[in-house]
Amino acid sequence: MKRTVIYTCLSTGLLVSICFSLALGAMRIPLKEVIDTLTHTVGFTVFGGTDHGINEGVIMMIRLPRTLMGVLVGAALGISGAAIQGIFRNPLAEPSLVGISAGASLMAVLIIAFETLLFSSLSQVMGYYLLAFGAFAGAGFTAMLVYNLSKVNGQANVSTMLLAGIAINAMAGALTGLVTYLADEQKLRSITFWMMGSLGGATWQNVSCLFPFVLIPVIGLPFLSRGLNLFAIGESQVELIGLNPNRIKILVVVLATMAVGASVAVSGIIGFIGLLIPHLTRLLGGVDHRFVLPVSALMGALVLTLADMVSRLIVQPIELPIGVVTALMGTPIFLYILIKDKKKLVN
Amino acid sequence: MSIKKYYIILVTLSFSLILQQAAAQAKRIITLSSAISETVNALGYGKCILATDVTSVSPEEINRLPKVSRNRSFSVESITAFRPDLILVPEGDFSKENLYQFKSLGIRVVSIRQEFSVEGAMKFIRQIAAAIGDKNRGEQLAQKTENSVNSTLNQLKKGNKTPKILFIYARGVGTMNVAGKGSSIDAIIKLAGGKNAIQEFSDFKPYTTEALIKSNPDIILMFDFGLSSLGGREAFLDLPGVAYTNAGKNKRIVEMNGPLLINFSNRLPEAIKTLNNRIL
Repeated sequence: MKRTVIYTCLSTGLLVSICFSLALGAMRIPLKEVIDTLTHTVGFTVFGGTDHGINEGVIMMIRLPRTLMGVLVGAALGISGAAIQGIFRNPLAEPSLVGISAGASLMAVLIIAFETLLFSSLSQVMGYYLLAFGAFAGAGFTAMLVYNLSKVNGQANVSTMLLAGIAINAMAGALTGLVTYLADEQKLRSITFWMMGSLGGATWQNVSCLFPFVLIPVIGLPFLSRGLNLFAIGESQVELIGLNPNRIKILVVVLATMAVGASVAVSGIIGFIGLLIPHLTRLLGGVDHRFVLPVSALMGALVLTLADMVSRLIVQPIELPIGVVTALMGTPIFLYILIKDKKKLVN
Repeated sequence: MSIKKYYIILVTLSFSLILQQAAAQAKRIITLSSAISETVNALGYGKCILATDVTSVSPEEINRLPKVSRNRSFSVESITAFRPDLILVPEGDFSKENLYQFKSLGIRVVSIRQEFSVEGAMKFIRQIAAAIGDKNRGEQLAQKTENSVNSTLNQLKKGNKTPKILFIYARGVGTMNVAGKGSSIDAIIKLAGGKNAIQEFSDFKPYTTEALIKSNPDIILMFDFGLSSLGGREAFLDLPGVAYTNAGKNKRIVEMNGPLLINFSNRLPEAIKTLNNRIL
């Protein structure tokens, strides 16, 4: 009952925030025209006149792809964060903390810097997908590396995992720094974009490229929730019930890196969503992964849509990097959760 | 045909001619670098500029315009909100995605390439004039600037020896870069009768104390806001290593207005003359 309420509230909230995101921005466009444009595109007319010239272009070519990208990236980061926290059995595990985002961005930076030298034949074949696949490969590689480094007697050791993640992050950061020395000014700017994160480059092209990379994990990961629930008790429990713990681990890592890698490829590193969203979700409705995974996707989409609105509207006519907004919104909430948990421990 | 009818036709014709002229020329322009803003203004289209970037600070009426781009961070929608019919942007500042977004909105974007030489400056002016749709004025301004550059170069002060100049781009003590070969600074120093102290690398690289002492410049050149970001002339002379260079010993620190120094457009003659006066 309580969960139905949460699902309904979050879905409604997401729909409302999508509407606001389409209606608000530097261009003042009356709500009527927004509805007109949208309904006209799907094939019927509500208010009559549909020729709104540039306003229509702004809604269809700028705001809609951008909003959709926010929804997709938010869902990807939220659900991957929750799943990764599940297999690592650690609430601190997060795509950027265990090095997945760093691996993705390092690979993206390498491709940008050496595209003309090394990847030109590849990029002719794969075009826009090269960056997405590269980021995905980088993310997958670092995830496997961190996971294998943290294994002690076949079990993932949490503190080793975090330290390995820190090491990988430092390494990737240093290599990215090195590449920036070799890159010219123009490439440097694309590289800065990867480090800061932004939804400003959203076009239909990259949104449709991102879509399958997010859809498959969002549908696939909840199927693993029963296994993840057993993981919380211990890996031996998974085996007792007749499931293969290694297969679950590998599936989670592959699906999560798929979502995070592709997200980083189109929007750069957007921090804190993957860490914060699962915490908020558990705060709302408990630790059952059958609930945590889908709700984290919903909540991630909602929070990132809101954060993007803030980043667009707060310092017009320019915009704040979205990573700044998510960190500013996220850190206080995260600290609040920490302090609350600490009090619980004392009692 | 009555005279009245004849007049009506004449008026309509001339009106449509004026309209055609108006359609060809850009009327609502966004300029996204100081050199572009200054050039558009010098071409007589300053009133058509709706918004600029944060570096466009001169002249005063341009500085008063809204700034829609800050260090190349901007939003497509904010720029579109001004309903421009032409965006002039330095080549490479817009990503492929941005160009695609503006194209799908039907807004014309012209990327302007800037080369740091006298011919480059003339090309820059002509490119901008062509984008606006007024090649005639572009030709006039380019000719005028070229003549002015030539007469300035003929009247340059000459010293006994060519001074070695080190340019430091500073944004506070932590972030200092020096200009190498091929940079805008390298070009303007040569034109003004100096020699860039750094010949080992191209573009801008971070500043180190040892590199400063090794290059031993006669003069250290900085943007005015750069010197103030380090705490002014005295504070700069106290920085480690500065006292070991000729520039430090003789206290020869030259500051110049940033946009003027690297304008490489209509203000090139003024930049050459000012820098020449200060270094020789």
